[in-house]
Amino acid sequence: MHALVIDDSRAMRRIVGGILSDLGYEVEQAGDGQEALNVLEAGRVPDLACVDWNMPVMDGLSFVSAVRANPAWRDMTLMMVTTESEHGQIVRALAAGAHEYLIKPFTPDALRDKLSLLGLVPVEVP
Amino acid sequence: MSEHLLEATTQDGACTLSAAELLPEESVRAVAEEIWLSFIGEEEFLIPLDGEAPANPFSAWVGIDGPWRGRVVITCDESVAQDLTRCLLGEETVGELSQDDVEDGFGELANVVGGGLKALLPEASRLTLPLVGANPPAHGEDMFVIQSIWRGQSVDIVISSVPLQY
Repeated sequence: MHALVIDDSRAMRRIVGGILSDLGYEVEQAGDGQEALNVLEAGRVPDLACVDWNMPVMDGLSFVSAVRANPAWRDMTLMMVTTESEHGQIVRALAAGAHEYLIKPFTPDALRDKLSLLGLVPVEVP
Repeated sequence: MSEHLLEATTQDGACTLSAAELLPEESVRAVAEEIWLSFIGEEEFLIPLDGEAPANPFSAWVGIDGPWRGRVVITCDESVAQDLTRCLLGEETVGELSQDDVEDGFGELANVVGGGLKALLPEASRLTLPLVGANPPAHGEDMFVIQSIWRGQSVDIVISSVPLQY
């Protein structure tokens, strides 16, 4: 399976990417929503995108809306991974088309649990 | 808008409560300690004690923009910022850290702490992108400091209102 980790923090991309790699994902990274759209437009459409909210150039909510506006990308699963924890923000993200929502800080187990809920854990982890 | 905040809001929508009134020390400590455990490490404790002032102070900060405008600044020694970044990334898997790595990791820590504190506010607000450096902007007049020790080294969280700009 192919995942795209979208976050302006290299540290967060490394952390999330590491967890996904351990689960068997092939991981690609993008530093903002526009960079992520460029990846999709180049034909590298992932099974899963982990999307930060607050990023320069294009934020995560705009990215989710852009993905949902393109029928060619409808099979992508979108999970927000963000410090935005207010109920209203969570509702906005889900209404825009995100499937799941994970609040930073999180543990590797919390990310794995979210992926399990989505049926997106490709390998059994001891 | 909540009744509590409505009473403390001027006609132009600005909040007149101080940083300490909006973000009580015990709540800030609880947020920071939880973040240390889940983000830095399961056995990494932020102890509520005063430490020695850092020899090479290094700061990361985020702004909170809403009915209340403020700034959250984390300050520690630069070597502590490196250690925090190392923990963040998983010590056993990280080789030499570049200055960019430290600024990025320490900035993300400020982002997460700022996000946790923003969630305590009674009204929705926006978090600015984190900035990092040796010279953070001047604190507002109502600044208060949450002093802690991590691995024997001082880590301060300074919160203040910022009425005009970040």
